[in-house]
Amino acid sequence: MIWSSKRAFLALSLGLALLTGGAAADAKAKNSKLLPGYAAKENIDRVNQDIRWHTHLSEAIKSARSQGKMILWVQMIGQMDGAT
Amino acid sequence: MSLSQDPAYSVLKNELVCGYRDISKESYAGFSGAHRPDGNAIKTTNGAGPHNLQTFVLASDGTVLHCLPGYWNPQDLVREIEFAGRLHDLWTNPSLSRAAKDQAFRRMQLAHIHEHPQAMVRRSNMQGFDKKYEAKHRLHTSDTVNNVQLASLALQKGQKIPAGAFKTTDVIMHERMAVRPFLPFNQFDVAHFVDYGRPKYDKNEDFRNDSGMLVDRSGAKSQEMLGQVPQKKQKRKGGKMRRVVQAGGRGVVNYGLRAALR
Repeated sequence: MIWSSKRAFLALSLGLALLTGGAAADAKAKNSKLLPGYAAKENIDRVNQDIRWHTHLSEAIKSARSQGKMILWVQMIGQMDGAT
Repeated sequence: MSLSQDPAYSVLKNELVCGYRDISKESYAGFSGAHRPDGNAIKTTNGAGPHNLQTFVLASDGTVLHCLPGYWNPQDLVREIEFAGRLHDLWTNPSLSRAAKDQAFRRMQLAHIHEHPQAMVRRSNMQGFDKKYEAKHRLHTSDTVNNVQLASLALQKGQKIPAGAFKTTDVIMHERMAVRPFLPFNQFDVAHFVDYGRPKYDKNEDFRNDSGMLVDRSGAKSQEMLGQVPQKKQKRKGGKMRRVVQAGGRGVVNYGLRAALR
């Protein structure tokens, strides 16, 4: 299979993310079943402040085309910057 | 416990264009208890809450490369995004015909099942109440059933559902994707794709203590419900549980989503 340089970079990033995230996430996960509300809110704020969330697919496609990236499109009940 | 945590967070922030849509009004949406942004979140299993949350990975032209129904562990989510990257290479390969691409798509989807580590498979055990729902409503026709005889035990009260009775959600996901090769997003039949388990999905996080034990059952039972709440359910609760479909409103959330974002 032919890999573009961008795609190869993504694969490398994802591979590294898997390697570095795994052990820490597992250890954390074993220790707590419930994430307290204040921590959950911090996480939600982080996701909303640091990541631009398009609300129209056509806009996301336009942006993805110009950047040569794939799109992560989430369908959910509610608003990304609301309760979650 | 998914999108906001590494390794998923870094990948979303740096490698992908992100977007979302509120599906509260969609007929295939499920329902759950209302939850504020500062409410608790609890761990769950891969593929839990498929009616309430779907995560698509699309090519830059809007073609569906992959779809993960419900919540997914951050490591597993990243693994599947990496897999979608491989499908993207296939989709954009100019030397292959469409038929060849579709054939390879099917083969790769099914083959990826065998690439899943054992830990991911363990995290993909379908929720017990979803198994019971499948056994009760479509024991002989559901593609989630692995062994009808074993799965039928889910209908007996107090009977433990044996391992192997149902497929794990990682398998269900890939098998369903395999028959949907490179569809444009607007042709992807979300309702059928996410159709397993019961519509209601809630773990009552705000009514549990720090150990995760449910400590306020009456509070959990009388909480406000969101999404496509059945009329029958609203009446039985004497108006305490009301249908809330707040398009564009705040305070709307479901369990799968809560778990995914925190």
